[in-house]
Amino acid sequence: MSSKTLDMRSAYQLQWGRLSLVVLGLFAILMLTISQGPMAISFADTLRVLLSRGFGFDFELSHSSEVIVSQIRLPRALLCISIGAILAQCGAVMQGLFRNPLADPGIIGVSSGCAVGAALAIVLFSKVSNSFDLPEQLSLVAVPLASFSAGLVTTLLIYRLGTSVNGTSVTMMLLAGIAISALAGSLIGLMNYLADDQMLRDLSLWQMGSLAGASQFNLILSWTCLVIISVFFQRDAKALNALLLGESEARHLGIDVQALKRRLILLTAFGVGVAVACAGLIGFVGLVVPHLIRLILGPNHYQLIPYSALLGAGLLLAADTVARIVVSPAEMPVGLITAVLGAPFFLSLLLKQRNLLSGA
Amino acid sequence: MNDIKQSASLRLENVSFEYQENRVLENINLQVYPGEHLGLLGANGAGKSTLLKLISRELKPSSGTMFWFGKSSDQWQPLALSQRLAVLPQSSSLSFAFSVSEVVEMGLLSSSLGYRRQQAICEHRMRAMDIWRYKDSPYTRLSGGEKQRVHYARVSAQLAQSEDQAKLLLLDEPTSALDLNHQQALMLDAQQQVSRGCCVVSVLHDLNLASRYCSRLVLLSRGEIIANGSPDQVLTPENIAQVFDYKAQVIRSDSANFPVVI
Repeated sequence: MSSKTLDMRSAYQLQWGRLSLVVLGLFAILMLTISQGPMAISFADTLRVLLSRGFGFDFELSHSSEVIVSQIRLPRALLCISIGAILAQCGAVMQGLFRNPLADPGIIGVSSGCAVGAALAIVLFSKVSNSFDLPEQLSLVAVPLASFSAGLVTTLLIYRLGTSVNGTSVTMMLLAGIAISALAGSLIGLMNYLADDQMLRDLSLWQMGSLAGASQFNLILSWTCLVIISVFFQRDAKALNALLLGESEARHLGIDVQALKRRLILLTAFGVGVAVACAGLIGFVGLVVPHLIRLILGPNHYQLIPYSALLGAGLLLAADTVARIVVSPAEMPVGLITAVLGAPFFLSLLLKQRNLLSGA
Repeated sequence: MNDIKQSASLRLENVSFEYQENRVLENINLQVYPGEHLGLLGANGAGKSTLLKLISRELKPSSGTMFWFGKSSDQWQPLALSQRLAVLPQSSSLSFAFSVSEVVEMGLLSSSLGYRRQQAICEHRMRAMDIWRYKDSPYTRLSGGEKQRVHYARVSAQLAQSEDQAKLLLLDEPTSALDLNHQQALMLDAQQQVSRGCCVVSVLHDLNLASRYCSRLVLLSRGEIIANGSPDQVLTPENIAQVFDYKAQVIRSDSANFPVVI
């Protein structure tokens, strides 16, 4: 009886002790990340800068390490955290929505859709603003907005193609993803063709994913987005669990399934759209992270979503650190690192599902 | 007259359903009252599942009117109705490795009951369905019959959350995956629900199971009700021959107080 009590407690309650332990772990990775780079900064100095910046403590600090930490490395690490957490949560929620553990914004083409929107905005905006003299700040809003809208259209399209009364067909979902990625690839190619040299370099770096663009605007946008989607996803966690039973079963439990699906599609498109607009295409975080959490904590979304956010943040921080130091002082696109980690993982999942796929 | 209309848990008036210009159900009139276990019988394609889907509000009738506890579909809030109407599907597509107790708890998803009360309900339902020992096992590792019992525990927990109200439990071929022992256990549990004033509507293929546990049977053929009454009235050799195209004998023995079809 007592063990039962614990079981049911854990299902719909966050265990704050465990959660704060993981947050502490994330903070340790953050410290490690910030201290690494072309100029090594000791842990102690990193901590001092963070304390003086965040809490107003007064320390003797060398000017250079203060500038490097507070102006370069910290903003970038904060962008890593928000983007990693957004991508991992969107992956977890999409897998619930599609009732399929292979759904991932990158694999099913949502990220590519967002990328088309953003690339269109980048290239067309600069063309248009040359002739009409538009304010520069407008492009800051135009890129995320275009990215989100294109992501929304893509998600809806793939959802329509992939799901039927009997649930989601993996085959249809993945094939739709291939088709959309191909279409997106050609559209982005067209943008490349239209772009000038500087734009071309921006576009190609951005297609491989990079967290170097940690501007203040990007930080505010991505953290706002993270807070919004985290709150809404957590509120819908129980309903998402029921959705895994099947749509009609969820309806019989009193859930407004149509409204739930609409809300989740909107929010995931918002999340992926913002992530792509801020950091380009970073694949596989949304696939790998929820899988690892499911192995440890089970499929209950009430736990899955927040822990995915934390692990996603940690993983992207680590990947970005690797990207920064492998070929230092130059850096690799972080999307390459996550793809090297994620693609074999995806293949192993496909192998596991092979029997299911051949039956579909 | 008005009182009777109010007290029926379920009332269908001239309900028809068309699917791609095919009449699947024709002019169905049916009332089910608290304390009844209604069995829906008929050959494959007779319209049993469609009728059950209409009752569970998954489909809307093409014509005719339906009332759940005296109110039409538009008058019900989904959440309020879900505490009084529960549906056991034929099978579930759940493919994520929830533990058995997590699946059963989903029945109480939107319950306002306290945590201890919910826990007691779930334990009681799991013990009744003989799945308590699996409570921490992953659902995906269970056999088909065990999964069916998990879902029965889930939907019966769903109805256990609101007391003192008329309820409706729909079972779509509840025993098809179960062994003999658990078939009886599930039908006996449904009977207990009925004795507490719940109203159960089951789609069944096993005529003898229906004969033994249902208080009333409805025989469907080509979308129409051709017999509606007690097992004795419905399970006649003539009716069975007409619906199933099968020459059956119906006998009564001293050891069973229900008609037996052989």
